[in-house]
Amino acid sequence: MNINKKEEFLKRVDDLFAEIQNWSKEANLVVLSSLTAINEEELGLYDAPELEITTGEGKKIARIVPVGACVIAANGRVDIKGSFDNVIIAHLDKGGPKMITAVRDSNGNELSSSTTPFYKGVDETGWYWIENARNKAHKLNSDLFIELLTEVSDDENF
Amino acid sequence: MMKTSDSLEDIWNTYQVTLNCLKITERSVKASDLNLLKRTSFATATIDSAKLDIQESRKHIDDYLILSLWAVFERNLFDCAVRESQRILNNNPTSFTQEIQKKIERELEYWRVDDVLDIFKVMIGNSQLIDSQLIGQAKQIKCYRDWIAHKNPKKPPLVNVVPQTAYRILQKITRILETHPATAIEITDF
Repeated sequence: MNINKKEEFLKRVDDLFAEIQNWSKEANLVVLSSLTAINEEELGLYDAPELEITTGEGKKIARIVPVGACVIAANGRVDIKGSFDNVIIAHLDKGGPKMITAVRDSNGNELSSSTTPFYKGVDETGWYWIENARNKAHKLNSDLFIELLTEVSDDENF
Repeated sequence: MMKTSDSLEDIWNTYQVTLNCLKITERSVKASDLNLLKRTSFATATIDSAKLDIQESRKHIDDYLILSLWAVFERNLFDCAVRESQRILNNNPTSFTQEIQKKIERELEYWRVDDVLDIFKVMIGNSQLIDSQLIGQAKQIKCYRDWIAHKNPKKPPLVNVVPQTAYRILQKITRILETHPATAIEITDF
């Protein structure tokens, strides 16, 4: 079991959730925290925090659910789930995942390489929303978070 | 004949259209707009059951995307490998080389996909036809695809995948096979 990978993922989730708590408070939304179970073949079964976002009147807006640490071309995944839609937030390293073409000599030594990023816009390490319509990743911030809550709930008036 | 990369793009576009259709349907159900719901099963359903059906569909649609993308990708991979095996016959084939090629073509369908993928790591000149990392990621998508298809509730997936990432990886490999001089074939539209 890769303890470091799990701990790193949970730390990143904790950091994300601390930001979400602040953004939600600024928007007069209520955040309820609970635990969810994640089961991954490499890391086994473990608990992770989950958040529920509601209005002050108790109307549910979305759940913020960690999916796992073992994600292809990402360091982890968290989903924002509403009654209308779901969006995916992925933790990416600066530059994001890349497709690499390496030129090697007859001994297999690398002479040069070219890289094509999967997504534009990954200027620093952090949590990103990957826009389906374009190959663009958007760093999660307060404005984007509220926009995504609208996206998944179809509610523009909370 | 449609290029595989175009087929993958069609699957991706259909996925996005379907997501949008689900959103429109959900709004129609919420508004109980019978004009929009007529001649659908939603016209006589309760709002709660209709919303549940839509949410269940939304949950599964990402997985159906992976299944569809992989089916088309894998077929193209095997077809490409068969075409490459036919190049054995290009220069003065003997009855021996013909027999070898026939055996490869017959039995290739039974090879493990991972082994077929590994063939495409071959060096062409100074670079790999398909980079090892990309091959590795394709294998991970295959693992996730197998988990979806066989869904053993007692066994978790080895990895998870963001739908767009899966599309990008499989599309990239497919485009390399379509455009690299070593593997490209001439596609005739008719």
